Amino acid sequence: MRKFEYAMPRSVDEVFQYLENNAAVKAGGIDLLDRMKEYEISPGRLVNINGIEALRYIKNGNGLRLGPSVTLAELAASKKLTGAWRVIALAAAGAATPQIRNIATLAGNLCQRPRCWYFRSADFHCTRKGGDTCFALDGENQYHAIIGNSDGCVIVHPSAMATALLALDAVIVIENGKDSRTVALADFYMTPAQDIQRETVLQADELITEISVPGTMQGWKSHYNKLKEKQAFDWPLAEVAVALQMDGKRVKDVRVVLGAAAPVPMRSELAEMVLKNSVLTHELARTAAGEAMENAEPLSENGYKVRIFKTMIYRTLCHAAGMDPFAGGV
Amino acid sequence: MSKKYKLKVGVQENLRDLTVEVNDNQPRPWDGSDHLKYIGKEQTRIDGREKVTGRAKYTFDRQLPGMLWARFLRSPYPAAVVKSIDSSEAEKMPGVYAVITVAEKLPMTIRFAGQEILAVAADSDCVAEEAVRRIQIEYDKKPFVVSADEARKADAPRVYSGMNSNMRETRIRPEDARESDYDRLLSGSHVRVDQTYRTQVQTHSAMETHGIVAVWEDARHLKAWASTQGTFAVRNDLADYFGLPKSNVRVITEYMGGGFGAKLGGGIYYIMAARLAKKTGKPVRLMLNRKEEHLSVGNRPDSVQHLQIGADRNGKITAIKLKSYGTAGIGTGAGTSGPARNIYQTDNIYVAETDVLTNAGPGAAFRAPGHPQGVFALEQAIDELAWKLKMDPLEFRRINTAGDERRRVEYRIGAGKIGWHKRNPKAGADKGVIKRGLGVANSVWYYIYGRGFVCSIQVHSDGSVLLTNGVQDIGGGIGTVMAMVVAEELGLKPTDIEVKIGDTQYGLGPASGGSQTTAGITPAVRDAAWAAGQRVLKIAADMMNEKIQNLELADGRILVKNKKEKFITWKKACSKIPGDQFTVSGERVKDNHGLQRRTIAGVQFADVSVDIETGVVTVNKIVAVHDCGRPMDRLTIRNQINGGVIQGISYALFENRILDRNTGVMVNANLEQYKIAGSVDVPQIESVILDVNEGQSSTGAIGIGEPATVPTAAAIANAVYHAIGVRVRELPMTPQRILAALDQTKGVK
Amino acid sequence: MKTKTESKCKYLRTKMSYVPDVDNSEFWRSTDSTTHAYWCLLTMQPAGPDDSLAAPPECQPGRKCYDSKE
Ligand SMILES: Cc1cc2nc3c(=O)[nH]c(=O)nc-3n(C[C@H](O)[C@H](O)[C@H](O)COP(=O)(O)OP(=O)(O)OC[C@H]3O[C@@H](n4cnc5c(N)ncnc54)[C@H](O)[C@@H]3O)c2cc1C
Repeated sequence: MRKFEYAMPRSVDEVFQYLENNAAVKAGGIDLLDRMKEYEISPGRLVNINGIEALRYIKNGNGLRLGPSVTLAELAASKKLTGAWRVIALAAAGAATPQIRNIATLAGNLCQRPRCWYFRSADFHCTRKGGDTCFALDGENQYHAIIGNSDGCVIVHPSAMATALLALDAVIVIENGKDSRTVALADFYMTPAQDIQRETVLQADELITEISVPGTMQGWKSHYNKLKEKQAFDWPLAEVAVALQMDGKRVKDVRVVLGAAAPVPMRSELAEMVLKNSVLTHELARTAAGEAMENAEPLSENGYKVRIFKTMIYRTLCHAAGMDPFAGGV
Repeated sequence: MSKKYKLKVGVQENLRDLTVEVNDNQPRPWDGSDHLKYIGKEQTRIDGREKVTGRAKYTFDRQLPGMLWARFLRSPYPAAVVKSIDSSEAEKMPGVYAVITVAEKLPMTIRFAGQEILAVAADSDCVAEEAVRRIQIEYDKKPFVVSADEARKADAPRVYSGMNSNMRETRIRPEDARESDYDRLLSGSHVRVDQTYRTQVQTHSAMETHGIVAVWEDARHLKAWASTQGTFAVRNDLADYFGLPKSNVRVITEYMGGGFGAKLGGGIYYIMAARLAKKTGKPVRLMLNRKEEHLSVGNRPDSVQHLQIGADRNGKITAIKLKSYGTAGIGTGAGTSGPARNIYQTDNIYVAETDVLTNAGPGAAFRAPGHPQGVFALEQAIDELAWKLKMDPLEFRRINTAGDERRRVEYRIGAGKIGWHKRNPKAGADKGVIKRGLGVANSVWYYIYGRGFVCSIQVHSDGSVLLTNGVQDIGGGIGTVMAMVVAEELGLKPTDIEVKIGDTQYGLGPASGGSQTTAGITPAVRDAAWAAGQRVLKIAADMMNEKIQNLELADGRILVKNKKEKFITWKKACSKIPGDQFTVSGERVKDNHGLQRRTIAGVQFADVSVDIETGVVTVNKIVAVHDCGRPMDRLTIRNQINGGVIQGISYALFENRILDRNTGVMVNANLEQYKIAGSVDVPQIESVILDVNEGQSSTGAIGIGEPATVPTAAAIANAVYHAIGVRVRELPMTPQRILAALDQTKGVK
Repeated sequence: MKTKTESKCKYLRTKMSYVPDVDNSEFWRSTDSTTHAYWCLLTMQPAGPDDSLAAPPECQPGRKCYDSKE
């Protein structure tokens, strides 16, 4: 890792004074420091926003407002996250380790960069780093994308929080000291086709100041599941977030979001279409899960993930609806 | 001169008489009739407080005044020739003291990605790292091969250009065996298994990385702190390399953060650190980072094992034939035949093993070299044979190890604890998605010990006792065990004994490899303690006007046997030591008799659940029943078993060195993507430690470190089969592999 | 051809080089010599100073870097 300056602003305004010339925002630093150690980035200055208490809150009322610096541990333990919002707490609780969750922040989680082992290693100059080879494409791709993997980079997006928040149509507030803009989470992320070197629309001089979920989503239920190879601090082979609005036995509205499937966290419209306005049964959940994988195009080593996604989508739908997934037969 | 003793020896309570002859300067060996105060009980570590409070200083923590920090530059390519090196930029950097190359001259051959080319010493770690980045190397890249299967092909690039194949000569045993004889036996068998099993490369991931802090005290005296499993091994290598008398080299390992074999011998980091220290005239610290650990220090080689076993109608094994190959990268040692040759009773065992060279980091000794691999194949094949015979797999093992009393006892205890006889006799019979299964596998290891180790004990007139020996405590807790032995012999408490170890200035101690530390050193400790006791007893006999034979040492006192009210305290007796203190020593000598059985027996049972819709295997419980001779500290033995089981689970389900097929570079050289079992993955572990007394040495200790990890993966694999009715013959048993195995039998997607 | 399982080169190392006077040594050697990793003291690598593999069958009299223990 290279030498760097360290700034500790006390207010949001102060942040922007420091945020210039190869500076990087540091929240928990979990992701940033790893990347600095591998020389993926070498910022000249770190702007530590951890000391700004004003960026750390969970507020509910008409909608949910989350400070960018709220930690995953705080989200996991929050009593305010019930009903539709429960999916946020479940996702936060399932990520990383207790130690990491104590320091890792929400915005940092949303902005963390991919875990692709080629991207992360200083030994590989891949397309995402400006090179001209995607080493995973015909290399070791067992953990890579099964959907949206034909644009020169086959990463999966790593953020559990994005997976959960996408199910709630979350919105991100971004400031740069002069202007402020609001971006739907769905538009925050960029596919390799849009820009192969970046995952988000965030600019270097910008700060996320809030993540919010519009409306109260009264009557909605939600769930999040993650499947790991190893149970202690492993990344997902598949993760699924579901938000569900029922009208009796019928599905009135639904969001099915897949993480670890594609270079961006993605809603499965194929699954949602099957579910909407239909009576939710075990069988329907299976059909929706199968449908969600219709457009999957696995790589040489990751075909098994399709099967796992089918299982996890099915189970998460059941869990969200309060049905026992194991009562439905194989 | 020698004395004869009649001992009670045997397994657990089943004892028989044995007369042994021991030297005059040794006590009567402990045997099955001895019920001791500390030995065989649970003793917490005497240095536990230092460790948990962070006061314990490891090599990694060692910082000396004026010390320089060293870093390696390693090849990013798996096969290349280094044509030129330009380090001028680096050498100009403030804080850089020296740049030295590994090879004396160029060109230098590179055989794996991660191979050391040069090392830099600077006044901080940051500067050293940056200096390495500023060095320009001109490589001539060559074709490479990283998989054993590819390397076997005739047209594969050669790892060593002088060889006409990457395959080394196949080692066949018995040496004069004819394969066709065994084929005939196999094809004539009532049932037969003929399968291929594969295991992966496991890297050496100890908590503390490899490394050293070296300082030349003058031109002819070298001192080093090393994270090593063999203080004397490092001393000897450094002395031999630099042409120094052994007396001029001192190696210290005060605390050590673990080693599984790769820290047993020399390492290039030792030499480079000492060379840098010599060149700069300053102390040099060269500790590897985690990535370097994965790439370069050694690993458990992979294997492809083709195994054929036959049995007759009654379940007796007729023949075992193993043909295996594997790769230890650019080195040797991928054999796996130990288990096939040393567990089951049949005269017809044929093994043929081949090392395949590849452009990958070298293998090294790794906790029971060859054995977790060998047992994974053997114990699954044995299981498959039993199922074919429609015989209880445990019963099948019982029949074929009938002569081994330890195994008989272990099967009985283990089966009871896991609920073996309550299991569903059918495989894959559970209804639903989550299926449960039980499996069993045997362990095997060998009784090894070295001779000539010397322990010294000083007894002072204030009654204090100092024990010294150069052996390192790599985390197994040998220092605690040594204190227990002294305390037992002298009637003191383990915490009364001051133990100084891990320094080659003291007497020779064993290297911690081959599970021989306890067996090697404790007899010397006891003999020294016994001699010290005799000295104090003699003083006490004079003071008490008693015959020395009538006295005994217990509870800090010297007592008259059968007249317990008559005593003087240990301290009081010691106060009369002439000249304020005395020193005695004990030496590890040859065992008083050769053991008939030279193996160490163990068995593990696994209880697993398999989610057939995700392929995730959960280990619910492991029952581990092990023999380790006469148990010394049951707590540290249990620690070893727990550690062995956890490492075994990790090997079974997670660990896997992944080399990129296109570049030959390891893609998961960290502890996030190289997956190691964490706390949540660890099941309930129930361990049972047998009491096996042989009376072969003063303490009768044998070993446990390696046997504890040997059978875990195989037991889990057999349990997976029982759960889902499908064999998974390749490690690690990931969801991907479980699902693939399930798909194959169903023939559907 | 029989494998040469012993080398008398003073530079050849394996973990058993560090177990003095092992009892059971023959048993141990015959049991496990296919699992031994070898290296050369002069290079601390599996390749010797002549860039060829260092292992007992290879480290025999006649090799340039060979130096006998005796
Ligand atoms: C072993 C391990 C396992 C893990 N497992 C999981 C998992 O299963 N699921 C999962 O989702 N995550 C997982 N993580 C990732 C972890 O959750 C993230 O690294 C962490 O949340 C990042 O948060 P941080 O506050 O430390 O971010 P930092 O490292 O401080 O920042 C990350 C990035 O976000 C930017 N950033 C941070 N805050 C702002 C802001 N307010 N405005 C603009 N930019 C900002 C930074 O500039 C930086 O680029 C794991 C991590 C580890 C080490």
